[in-house]
Amino acid sequence: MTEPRPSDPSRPAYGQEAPYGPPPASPSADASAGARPAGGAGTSAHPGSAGASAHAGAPGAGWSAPGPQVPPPGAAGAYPPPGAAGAYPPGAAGAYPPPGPVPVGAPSYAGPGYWPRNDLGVWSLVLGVAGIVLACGFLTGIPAVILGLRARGAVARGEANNDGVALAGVISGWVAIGLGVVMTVLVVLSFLVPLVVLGFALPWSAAVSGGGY
Amino acid sequence: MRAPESRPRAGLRGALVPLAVAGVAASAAVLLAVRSPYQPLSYGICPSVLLLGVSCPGCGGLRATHDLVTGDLAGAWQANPLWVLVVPLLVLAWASWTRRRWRGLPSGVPPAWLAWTLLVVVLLFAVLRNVPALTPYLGPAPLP
Repeated sequence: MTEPRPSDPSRPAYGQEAPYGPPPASPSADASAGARPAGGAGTSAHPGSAGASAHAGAPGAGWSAPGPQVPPPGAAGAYPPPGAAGAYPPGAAGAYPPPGPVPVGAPSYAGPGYWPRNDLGVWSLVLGVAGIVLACGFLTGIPAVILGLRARGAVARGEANNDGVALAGVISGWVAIGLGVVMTVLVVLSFLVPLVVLGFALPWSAAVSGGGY
Repeated sequence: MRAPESRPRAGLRGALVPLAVAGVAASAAVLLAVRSPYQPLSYGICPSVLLLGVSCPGCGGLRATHDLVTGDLAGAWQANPLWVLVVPLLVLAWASWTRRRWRGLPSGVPPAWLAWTLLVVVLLFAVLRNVPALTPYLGPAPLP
């Protein structure tokens, strides 16, 4: 699961990919590949937690021992149930990168101070603020919300540390969308109401000659 | 081994979202080419102009897009110079996004300094184009 290329012929079969030692060669691709859990099939149904217990079968040894490591038969029952692997907080996983399809563990091989996905939150905030300034903020508000949610996901996975910026981006994006909706409704109503009630449209074009989108 | 859903899809399915975005943008461009925003109130009026009486950074964007689609670069520049400058960046960003999705790579974002720069430019543009002396250069040209 730590291989960014799924069709790598040299990758061993599952259960024999014990060498979790060296970090992947391409951290960004690998981290983001893990950043797309895509529907739990690869996360929960995949026996990643069984690999965890097999890994825990040799504490300290599995970390440095490369090569095939097959869990002994029946060993899975002797160790904590698979669900217990997820009980560890992500920050405590420095010793053991989580096995299975969530190999993100960016802090574990990149070290602290490296937040490769902080840009997401910044872009979200900038687009959200720009959407508010634009007054017709659908165009940037929607990407701001999407990027902000992705940024918050990156924070939860330990790939970014600017949760405040990301949250501000989500909020400002929603504000921009809401402003855009309100403004559009206002403009449409201000056209329709005089047209329906009075029978003519208000001659704005003379009042605001520089107007229009 | 790995579930197929656990990595970004490649090929046409991966690029569906960028292609859909491009389709929407192309549809809007066609609409703007057919139905000219130079007709007064043809697309309503900017809420910023209506409520505040100032031109927002996007004012003139429809006219500029219409002019770009119809090949009138000078007219587009008069309508909204910032939009004329941003459109090529958007096209480049879209191309990069599509390429990454097509190859199954995770879609990245441009660096953060570019975002901050863009924000500063947009805010400066919003202020400066409402300065009367600069409106002939930055503001949307008055509707004919």
